[in-house]
Amino acid sequence: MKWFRAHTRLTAFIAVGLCLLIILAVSYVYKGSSSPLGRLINSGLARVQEPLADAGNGVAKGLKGLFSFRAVARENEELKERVAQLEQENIKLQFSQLELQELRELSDALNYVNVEEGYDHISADVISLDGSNWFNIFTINKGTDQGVVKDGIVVNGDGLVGRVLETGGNWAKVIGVIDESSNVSFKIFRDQDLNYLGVLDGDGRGGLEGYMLDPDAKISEGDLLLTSGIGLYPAGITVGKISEVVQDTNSLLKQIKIQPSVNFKDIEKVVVIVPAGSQAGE
Amino acid sequence: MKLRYMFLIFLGAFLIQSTLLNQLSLFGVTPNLMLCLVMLFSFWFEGYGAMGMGILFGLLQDLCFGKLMGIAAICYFLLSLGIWLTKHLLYRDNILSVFFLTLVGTCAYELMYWALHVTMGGTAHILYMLSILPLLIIYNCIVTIGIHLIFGRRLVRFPGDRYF
Repeated sequence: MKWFRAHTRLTAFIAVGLCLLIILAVSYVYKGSSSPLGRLINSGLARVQEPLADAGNGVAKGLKGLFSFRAVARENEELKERVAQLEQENIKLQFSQLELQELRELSDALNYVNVEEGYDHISADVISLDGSNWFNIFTINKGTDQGVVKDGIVVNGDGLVGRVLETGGNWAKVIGVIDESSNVSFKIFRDQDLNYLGVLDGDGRGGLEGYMLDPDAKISEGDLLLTSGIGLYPAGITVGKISEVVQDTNSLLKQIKIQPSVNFKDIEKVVVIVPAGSQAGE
Repeated sequence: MKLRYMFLIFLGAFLIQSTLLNQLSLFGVTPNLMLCLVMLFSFWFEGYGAMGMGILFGLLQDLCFGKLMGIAAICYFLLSLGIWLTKHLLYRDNILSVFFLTLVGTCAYELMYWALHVTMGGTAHILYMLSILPLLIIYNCIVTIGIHLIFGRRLVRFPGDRYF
């Protein structure tokens, strides 16, 4: 005790360090779940962050428009052409829709349960982003009040973003798929066909890597990857494109590197896919 | 500086960091405003205010954006402690001191964060962290030197410096 009294400052530093280590250890044990106080703080912060994020996005968009007027005008022309193409495709799809309706009626008659219809979709805005530069954890403005649940799947227009790590009343914390160490099952979409099955996870460098279950799988750079529907993620969500194929001579597996389809540094709006029935509000 | 003012500055910085500052990211890298403030306030002021704020807002940062609580808080604590122990070696009014502090502080923080993250089961690769580091140092230096020139010289006088 004498030593502690003689070294009060050092003792205080050691005590603070130990407290922080205990917090870290407890958090490691109860990974991904905040205390009620933590959820309360997050709820309060979400209320302040939402208008700030809106203001920031508004100013950024306004400035971008001012400084890139020519690019915006060119993009507008390209989009007009694209709209014309899509209108043509839309007409074709309307015919396909009729056929699909007939098939659905047939499947109902046969009591076939469609897995795809078991989900609800909740749109949300990103209100705050992690500032650490090498993680991709962000907060969205929808939570349990709107039906968002833990492990809900988060997508945007480009493809798979990640999953819900934690939820509160008006917020949810989302982790990007590139930060995940858990595996995602995928299929290669090639020549209008889903051929080969594989498994991927985050490579720790802001990308994805994985391997094919079939070592003889005929794949090449540029092939599109979609979720297979096995496990947590519903089938058919775009994950990315193969950027490199490597034949591992030791494991005899075909290893691949994947360029994610989502730009994780520029996410504003997302959709959370949750199991049907969990949606309370909206 | 009174603790309540320091708290308000850190709170403002935390909110700006998580919302507005991401609009200024270059090649996906955003300056770490909280880190800059912890370094500068530990360097400028006597006492343990900056250390306390670093721990508090580090915990808040972990709560909002981390998978685990405590990593950022431990890093801010150790960094602030390091600055507190060594700042008598630097002239606090010198702009080069701020540059040196930011350079070493940013490297130390990122390395500590990465080491703790990996120890706790994280998957981030060291090369990925190192690839971001140069741009982050430049960005943080711009922020700290800017804050030092605009506010630092007006707020704090350093009678211990030799030319006073």
